[in-house]
Amino acid sequence: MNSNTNFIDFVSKTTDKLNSNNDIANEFRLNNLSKLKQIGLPTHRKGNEEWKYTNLNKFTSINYILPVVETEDSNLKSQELSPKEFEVINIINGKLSKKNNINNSYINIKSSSINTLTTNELNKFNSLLGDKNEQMAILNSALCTDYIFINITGGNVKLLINFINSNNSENFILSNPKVFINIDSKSQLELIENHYGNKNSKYTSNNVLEIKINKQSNLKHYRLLEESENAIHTNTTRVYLDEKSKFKSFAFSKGAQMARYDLKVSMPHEHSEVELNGLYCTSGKQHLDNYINLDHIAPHCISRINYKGILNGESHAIFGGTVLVRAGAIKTDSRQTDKNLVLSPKAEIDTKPSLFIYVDDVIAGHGATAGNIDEQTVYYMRSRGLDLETASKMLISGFAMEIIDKVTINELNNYLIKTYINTLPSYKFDF
Amino acid sequence: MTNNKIILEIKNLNASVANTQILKDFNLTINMGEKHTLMGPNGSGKSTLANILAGNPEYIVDSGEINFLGQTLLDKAPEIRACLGLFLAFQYPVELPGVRMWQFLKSSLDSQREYNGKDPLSTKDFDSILNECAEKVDISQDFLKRNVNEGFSGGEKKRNEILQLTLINPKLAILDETDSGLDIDALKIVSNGIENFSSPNNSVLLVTHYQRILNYVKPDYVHVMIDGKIVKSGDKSLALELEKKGYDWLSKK
Repeated sequence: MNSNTNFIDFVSKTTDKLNSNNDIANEFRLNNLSKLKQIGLPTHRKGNEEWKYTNLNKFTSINYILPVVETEDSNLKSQELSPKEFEVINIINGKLSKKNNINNSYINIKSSSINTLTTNELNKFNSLLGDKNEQMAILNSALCTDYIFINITGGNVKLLINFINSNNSENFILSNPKVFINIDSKSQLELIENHYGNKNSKYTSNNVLEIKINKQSNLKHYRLLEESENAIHTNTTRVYLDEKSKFKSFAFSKGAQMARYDLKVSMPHEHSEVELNGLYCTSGKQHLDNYINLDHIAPHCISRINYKGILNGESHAIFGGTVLVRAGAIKTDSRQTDKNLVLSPKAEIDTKPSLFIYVDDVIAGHGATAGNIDEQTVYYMRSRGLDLETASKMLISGFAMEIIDKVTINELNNYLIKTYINTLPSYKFDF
Repeated sequence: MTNNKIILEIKNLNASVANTQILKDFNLTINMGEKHTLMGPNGSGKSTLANILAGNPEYIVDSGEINFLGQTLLDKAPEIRACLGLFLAFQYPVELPGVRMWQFLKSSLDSQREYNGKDPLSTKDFDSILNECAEKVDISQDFLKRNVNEGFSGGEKKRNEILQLTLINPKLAILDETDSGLDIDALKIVSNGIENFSSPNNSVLLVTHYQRILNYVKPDYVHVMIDGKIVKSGDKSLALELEKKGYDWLSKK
């Protein structure tokens, strides 16, 4: 038996154990389990462009133990990030914490585990996934302990969701957080999606996040990836934009030994705007795969993708960005860039921005760069009295600050400077 | 105005770029308080000289000697040369994406102060010095909030070099074609910056193609450089003669 078959066997047993009388999600799990048995997990083989650079063997070959269903919040790493005016929800090992205390009446949270979820709401889950078999999401659905539905019913809401992973045992646990966020029309949401775990905790976290932005609504989304150094993290995020809605996103990625961020944004209605920013900093033997898809379906929509990477050690980062402009999407305005600083000769970047246009009358562009620090730039700085180390640090942090500077939440901005800028490596020059 | 203290002495300098010899037994001495202009046609080696003085790692010195304020220069890193008081205004100032003007200027000044045994400036003191310098070269507050040279026009980049010159206040200012590509207003600002900087306690080496800037900056000496060495030296009347006759009469042996 290969690791894949072993793994599916584990999923099957776990799904059985999760079944209980008072859980409305039983059937949902079983349906997804049978789908998973049919189609299997993504395989790393020639011709599979989506998974060209990431091998899931590391994920599936682990002997998982059952997820610890309940973990006391007191065992958790204290949270440094607590911006003012933000409501906070904790999701611990995939389960909604009972200690959540939401005061904003525009935030409505329901979950399958506390039996507040209606069948109608349950059926929304997976509805934003594409026609294609989304294997990681199906796995998530088969093993999920909590289906968390968040409805934003208006106003100007600020919400921090901590996706916390905690495991004191020697064996890996596998958690499957699943969240659907519906933003009603004419609502504003600022969302911080914060993934972290206790240092040295062994876990795999397979997240699914679906976000529906209804008419004339805005979502500002900040994703922070700061998992434990042993962790494996996969994330399937699907965003749907209705007419005249806006989605502005920042993905700051740093943690996990292996991570894949699979983001698909669908723009089927006119006059929507999307801006996707990303900053990934990898070191050691980290593997980080950004797989970004943007689907222009309706006319008059705008999109920007602006990702940056700083690679060190023997790390491997991937940027796969695809913008699809369909036949109906006239007057689309789309730009995509991915820029990388490769600080170590053993670090590797695979960057592949692509653009598929099936209509005339659009503005679209894409580009990617990868390089180390330019000697003549450093010479200019040295000629002003800065030594090599100071000059290189200033350039590397400047490179990262171009993304961090766009963050408008003060506490988050300071936090990012502390966790990203103040810990950046310097560049080893060979002259 | 000279007090005969030698600030820079270049002896028999030979240098090459990409295996082509550019400087050929080049000699020049500059005393404290003097303003020198180095003129010459394209490719004569003017910028090469400026870059070698500042320590550009792309340029290779084959032989010769450079003394700066009594110390040998060639074995020193670019940042040490800067800390000793040598400043090069670049012909093509480099853009520093994401690096703020304020941060860059403060760090530069503090590094130089630290090397010379002085404490870093407080933010308040630095701000007041910076604002004073910015006003002198007609640079606005908005400008100081931007990233270094990023998206600057050609003229703005050159004015930024003069701002740095004014702020750092070196012993020797080398200006590599700072006047190229400037309109008349920018030329006046840049020239004023150079004239205001110049004092009996420092020196200027102005590298240029054109006589035009000499309407505003008054040099003590004009040197003509052709094919890697100085072929003629004189006072500012030499520049006017060059304007009339070109360089051909000097290159004919």
